[in-house]
Parts: sequence; structure tokens; C-alpha cells
Amino acid sequence: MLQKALIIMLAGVAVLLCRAATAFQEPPSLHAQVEAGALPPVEQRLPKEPAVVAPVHEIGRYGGDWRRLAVGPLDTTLDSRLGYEPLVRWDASGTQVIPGVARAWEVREEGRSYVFHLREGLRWSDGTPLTSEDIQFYYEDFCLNKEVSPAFPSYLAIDGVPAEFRAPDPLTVEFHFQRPNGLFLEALAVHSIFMWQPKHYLRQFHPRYTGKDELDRRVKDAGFEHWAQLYLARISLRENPDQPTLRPFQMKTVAPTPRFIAERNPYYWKVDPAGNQLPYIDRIVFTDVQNAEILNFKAMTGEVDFQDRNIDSANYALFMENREKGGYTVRRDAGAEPIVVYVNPCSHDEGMRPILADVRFRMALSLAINRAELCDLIFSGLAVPARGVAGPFDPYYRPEFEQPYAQYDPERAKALLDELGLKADAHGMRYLPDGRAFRQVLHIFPSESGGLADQWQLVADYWREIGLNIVAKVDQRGLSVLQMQNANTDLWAYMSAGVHWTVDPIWYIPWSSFSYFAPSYGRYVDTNGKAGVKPPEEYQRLTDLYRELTAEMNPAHKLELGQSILRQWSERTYTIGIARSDVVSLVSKRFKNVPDKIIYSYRLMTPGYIGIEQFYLDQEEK
Amino acid sequence: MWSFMLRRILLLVPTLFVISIVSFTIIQLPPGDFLTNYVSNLAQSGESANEAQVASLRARYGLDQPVYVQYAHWIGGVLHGDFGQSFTYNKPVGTLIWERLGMTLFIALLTIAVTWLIAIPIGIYSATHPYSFLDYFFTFLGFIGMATPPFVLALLLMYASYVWFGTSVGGLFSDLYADAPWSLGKVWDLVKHLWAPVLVLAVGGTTAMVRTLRANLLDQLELPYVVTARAKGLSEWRLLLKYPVRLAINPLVSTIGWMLPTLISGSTIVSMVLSLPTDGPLMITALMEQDMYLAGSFVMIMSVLTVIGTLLSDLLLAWVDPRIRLEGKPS
Repeated sequence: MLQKALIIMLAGVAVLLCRAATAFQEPPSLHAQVEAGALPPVEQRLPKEPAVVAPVHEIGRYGGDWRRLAVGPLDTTLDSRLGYEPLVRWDASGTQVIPGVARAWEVREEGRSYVFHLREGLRWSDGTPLTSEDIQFYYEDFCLNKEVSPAFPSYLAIDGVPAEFRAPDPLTVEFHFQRPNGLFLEALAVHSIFMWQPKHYLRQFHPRYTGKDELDRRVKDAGFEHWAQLYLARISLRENPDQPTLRPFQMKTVAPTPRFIAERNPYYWKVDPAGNQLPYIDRIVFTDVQNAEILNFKAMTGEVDFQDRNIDSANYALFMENREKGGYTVRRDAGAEPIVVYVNPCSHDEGMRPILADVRFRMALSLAINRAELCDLIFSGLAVPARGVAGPFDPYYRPEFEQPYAQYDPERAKALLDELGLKADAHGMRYLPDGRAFRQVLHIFPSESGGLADQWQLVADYWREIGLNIVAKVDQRGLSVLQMQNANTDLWAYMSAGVHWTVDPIWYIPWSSFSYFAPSYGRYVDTNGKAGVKPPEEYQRLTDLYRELTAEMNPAHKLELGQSILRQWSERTYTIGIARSDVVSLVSKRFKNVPDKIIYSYRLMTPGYIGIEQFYLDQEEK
Repeated sequence: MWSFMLRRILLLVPTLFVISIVSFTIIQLPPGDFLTNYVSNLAQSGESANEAQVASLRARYGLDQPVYVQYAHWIGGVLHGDFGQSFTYNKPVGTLIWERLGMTLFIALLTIAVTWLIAIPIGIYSATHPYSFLDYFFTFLGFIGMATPPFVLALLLMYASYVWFGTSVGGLFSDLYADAPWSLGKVWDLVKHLWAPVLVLAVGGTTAMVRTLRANLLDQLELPYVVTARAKGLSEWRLLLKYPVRLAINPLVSTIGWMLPTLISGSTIVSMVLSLPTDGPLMITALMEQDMYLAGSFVMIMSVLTVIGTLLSDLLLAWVDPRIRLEGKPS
């Protein structure tokens, strides 16, 4: 007891010492503005208690442009991966939820209420303080407004019922659910990046705060027809440099332009342990290139400081060859997301349906693939075999989920197909029980970087060896997803979720038509039975388990429920997992504080979860 | 002459109307629409849209309405000079195209000028000195230039400049000047970057023009009127430029009609490779993303340019060549 008290006291003294010793420093690039009186001094720009970010390797130096390449304005990802500022966030390991914009939180009433405390004096990039009113504005005037947000954001609802929102004082926000919500913090760590809508700025575009005539005039002047179109354009970071932000960088240019330039937010609310206001880097400069191949070429010549997006791992050897000349190192990091083949259990083809819905068919497909060979041949070793049951970075994953039907065993696969009634003809090719030849097309979701056609041809060849006539075909871009959603595609090659899949249930639970492993069942669940196909008990069980999981507050029980879902996946092989491919990225010699290991996932907003604000450029290094 | 012009101009109206329908239909031909593309874009990075969200966006953009309603909506706006909104950029289509038009026209016109500056002297030389060493040399060079697609040339140029100079060609300004206001330094910087794309773009056109000019001129040079003129003591240069060259240029004039639309689209692929801020790449992305109004407006504008170009070349031809002007009139 005494010891504990002592530690707390020491910690307190340390904090006080820190505050006393470190008057805050600001980037030199802002000095002139402060001197001229255009900006208040750094102490007044920072919150009372700034968030302290520990740098990955060392305290950085100020200044410089982070050079990146982007294929069009959508590719800058300044509001997600390069602007990851949720209410609560993933820590640097990507596993625990830690404070973000909120400095602390409490969970009350067994998980029915969540109370978040905002940081006093945290300001938008124009100097206006962030208060609970801003979040209330987002909640009431955006989320609940059917005209501008037709679908209520599902992360703020439970069982389809929106949480009740309260803002008792300027620094406190509360979310009340009708039943315990056990996944709320995780969901916030991913989805709340879109929560930030500055009321003081956006009210001029909202009918609740602006007169009809004036708003109509603004809509018309901007060339829109409806206020919601104008509003949506104004909250888009990449289209509107005027909108205040909480993120470390703010877009200053409007597309289309040859270079997208994002500048530092002078009111950014984080500091390093020495009291330096972050970010270290002054600007992110994206050169707009027209396609991924040109991007790879320019990256190869060393025109980037840290580029992971759109880098094609097929060019690994080329990058390695040119790394000295280009002045960069080539990184290989784990991609969390497995590449999988989805099998549609509700095929429109009557003869095919019972076959595709049979677990033995999926087992056979899985057993027929020589994953080790595939990884070596096609990915040049830049991939590891994967079953597509989440992955090693996911909290609910267990290594044994990887085992069933992962070993290469074509004989067993053939036996399973025989058992299923898919008889083989004289050439070993199989036909359906109704006498037709078995023929299927493996539709491939067209990825920007291409290069995947070989991989899928090889997979199709493995299946041909067990007598299944399957040909691989790259889909037309616009329609690929839609066709799968409507169950018009029977075999579809795409990716799945490898980490924190619980924050978006579509990947492993029949939840909506975006649940690609069973889109018709998902549609049924989503529409409460008005459309789609009623899921059989086996699939219903997944939905039930997930509902239970969302209501569970006990971490041990949560773990158990999540694992039961994945265990069922492992046993029933809903998708045919192929591999997890590494993400190749280039880091210039002067670009510092990139951790030794990175996990790539949308749900971690990589590189967002690392903290892009603590990257810095060592200007002396060339 | 006036009735000739009037007839031509009146014909424009129905032509443009038909073109507008055809171009809108073409845009609608590929299955799917902007939103299916939008969903695919999300899917690319492992995100997912919500079904209700997609449906309502579709309604907001008017994509749930029948094609003829969408067409009427669009053409109604176009008549008032409003080309609609781009879905990708959330900006008026007119603004988007206009912003890049200056640079596009500048590069295109410069390319044409360079093409003519190189092609016409070489063409004349080749025709007046047929089967000489230089004629063969230019012919050889020309065929290589013609056979190499400009984008390959651009890629080779990029690669060569990387191997030799350690930088990649591309863009119109260096980082130093990209965001700076116009100054002498910036102009010089532009010149330093401009030669590569202009050269690449000019090479293909040059060869075709040299060959046409040479062939036409060769035909003319053997005609009796040239011999007569020469016999009468007209100086060689004056003779050449006043009669045969003028006639030999006719085909070039009549192709101005095709040249106008290529002002925008001709440099597309090269612009993509070299990252030039012109309208071409904007058009390609619009077509690929099925950004309907942007793509439709591009197709429309290009067609209008073709039609106007044809009109212009008709008029120019009539002006240059009296035989055409007087056609149909008993002389």
C-alpha cells in the first residue's frame, strides 16, 4: 500500500517536473506567424494537458516535406490512414485502446453508458476550442439527419437503435445504449475518425442554422442542387481546405492539381516528451500520378520519403536493385488481410447450389491448393500461407484455426468430391449429379496493381487437377462487388479481414449483402427478412454468437465468443484462404521514426496507428 | 461563298444534337455506374459501404432515374452552359475542364508548331532532293518515329533520364517552382521540363506530315506548269513556295479538322506517363470511374471540336484553293 502511494507520488512529481522543465517548443516554420501576431504563442495553442506521444526511436527534428505519390485525390487518405485521430485509438502495438481526442473515459451501467472526457483547450486548426457541442452537432445534425446521412452510422447504434447522446458540459460527452455494448471502444478506435465536424464552420451549410434563402443561394453558387450535396462537399477534407481539422496535417490544395499539399496544423494538440509540438514534419506533398505503374516507377527512382500505398510487391527485386541509387531502404511488413476465395452458398444455379453449399466441396477446394508452392512461385516468398480465418494479429485468433484442410492433399480432396456425387469422366473431369459437366468461373476482383492473374491461374490449375473445370477471369472493375452482392458470382477472389474483424461484422458474420461469404443470408439479416434468403441454422449461429459478443463486457467471455465464431469458420471453411501477402514499402534514408515492424490493415489505419505525427526528416542525411 | 458557309453552319445544329445523344449513350453503355465504381474503390482498400447509403447516394445523384431523364437533365443544363457536377471531384464539370484547358491548349499548340517547324522544311528538302542521303536518313528516322508509340517513347525517355541523370522526367515544374507564383525562374523551369513532352508528342505527327508533304510535292514537281515556270526563269525558291508547296499543303489544311479534338485527347497517354496537368488524363479517369457528366461533357466537347474543326478546314480550303470555292459554279 505504502509502496503504491509512493509510486503515485513519484509519478506526480515527475509530471510536475516535466511541466516545469519543458516550456513547450514550436516548429521554426511557425515563428514568423507568431511574431507577426497571426498565431498565438504555442502555450496558448496547445490544450492544458497536451497528449504526449513517445517517439518510436528518438526525439525528432522539425521541418521538411514528406514526399509521397498518389493516384488521384482519393489516394491521399488524409482523413483516414494519414489522419488517424479518433476519439479513442489503437496503441502503437495495434492491440489496446488508449485515449485519443478524449483524454479519458468511463464505462457505466455494465456497458450501457460510455462517458468520454475531452481535453480542455484542445483546438481546431483555426483556433476555436473543440467542445461537446461539436460532437453533438455531428450526432444530431449529421448522423440523425436523413437527408445528409441516410443511414445512421452503425458504430453508434446497437441492434439498429441509435445510442442516446448527451453533452452535460462542454468537455463531457455520453453515449447511452439500450443494452450493454461490449465492442464500442474498439469500434470507436476505427470508425470515430469521421466524427470531426466543426460546428462553428459547418453551420453556414446546414438548414438548421442557416436561413433557407441564404443556404439556397450558397448551394446554387457552388453549382449544386441540394444542400446535402454542398454539405458533403464541404466536409470532405480533400475538397475543402477551409474546413478546420483536428488532424496533424490539413490539405491546402484542391484537386485536380499536379501536387496535393497538406500543411501542418498549427493547433495540433500533441507534443513529444521534450515538449516539442508535433508534428515534426512541415508538409506532406503528394505528387499526383495517373496510374499505379507510374507510381512504382517514380518510387523506384527515389522520389518518395515513405511510400506504402500502391507499391506493388511484384516489383520487390527492382526496388532492391535500385535502393542504393534511389537512397531508400525497402521494407517488407506483414499485411494482416488474407487473400481468399469466397464460395457463394446461394447460387442461382439449382444444380450447383447444393454442391457449393456443401462443406465437403469447400474442404476439397482447400485441400487441393499447395499453398507453400504458391507462395514461392507467385509471391516470390513475399507471402505466407493463410486459411483466411482472421490472422495472427487478431485478438480472437488461435494458431490451431490455421490447421484444418490447409495441408496439400489432392487425393483426399478427390475422395471428398466423389463422396459428394461429383463423378469423374474418362479424362478425370467431373460432372454434376444432374449430368451437366462441372464448369465454374473464378471471378477475380480487379486490383489496381494487377499482377494477380498468375496467382489465380495457378489456383484454378490446382482445382483442375482434382477434376474441377474452373477458369480464372479478372472481373470488370465497376461490377465485381455488385455481382457478388447479388449472388451472381459463385466463386470470387478478394480479401478478408485479418485483424479486429469484430468492428465490422460483414467479413465473418452474415450481416448485410456486403458479407461476401453469404451475401443472400446477409441481406436477409440486414432487411429483417424482407429480402435475401433465410440463413440456415449454421449461419444463424454466427449471427447469434456475434450479437452475444457485442453485448459481452467480460473480456474472458468476449474472447471465448469471438473464438467460437472463428472456430466454426475454421471447421466449416466458408472461404478458401490462400495467403497473406507482405506489404512492400520504400523509406528514404532521411525519413526517421518508422518502427521496425508494422502491421498493415484498414482497421488499424496503417500507418495511422503508429502515429504519423512523430515521423521526422533528418535533413542532413541525403 | 456566303451561302456555302451558311449551309455548313446550319448543318452543325442537327449534327451536334445527334452527337450529344450518341455520346451520352456511349457513356451509359458499360454496365454499372459511378456508384458501383465507388463501392469498388472502397473495396480496394478493404473498406465497405452500407447498402442504404449506396441506395440514397444513387437517388441523390439521380442515377436511379431512366437514361432519357438523365439525358434531358444534362442537355438542359448544357444549353445554359452548365455541364453538371463531377461526382469524383464534387465540382462543376465546366470549372474542372476549364482549369486545365489553358495548359492543354498551350502544350497542344506548341506541339503542332514544333511539328510543322520540323516537318515542312524536311518535307520540302526530301521532295526536292529525292533519294539523296539526307532523304533516306530522314525517311529512316521518320519511320522509326512513326512506328514507335509516343507513350513508349515517353517511357524510354523517363528510363534514360533516370539511368543517366538520376531523375525522372515528368510534370511541368520542379518541386522548387511548382507552388511558386509566375516569375522568370518559373518560366525557365517550365521550358526545361517542356521540351520532353513536346518532343515526344511531336515525333509521331512529324513523320506522317513529312511523308505526306514529300509525296504531294513530288507529284507537283513533275507537272508541266512547274517546268514552264522554271523555263520562264522564275527563281527556284519563289517557284517552289508559291505554287507546288501551296498545293502540297492542301491535305495538311484539310486535316486541321481532326487536329482540334486531338488538342485535348491526342496527348492523353503521354500526359499520363509524364504526369502532365492537362485535360487528357482527366478525361480518361472520368471514363474509367464512370463520372457520367464529366465524361459526357468531354465526349461532347471533343465532338464539337471535330465538327468545328471540319468546318474550319472546309472554309480554309475554300480560301486556299479556288477550285473548291468555285465548285458547282459554271466557270
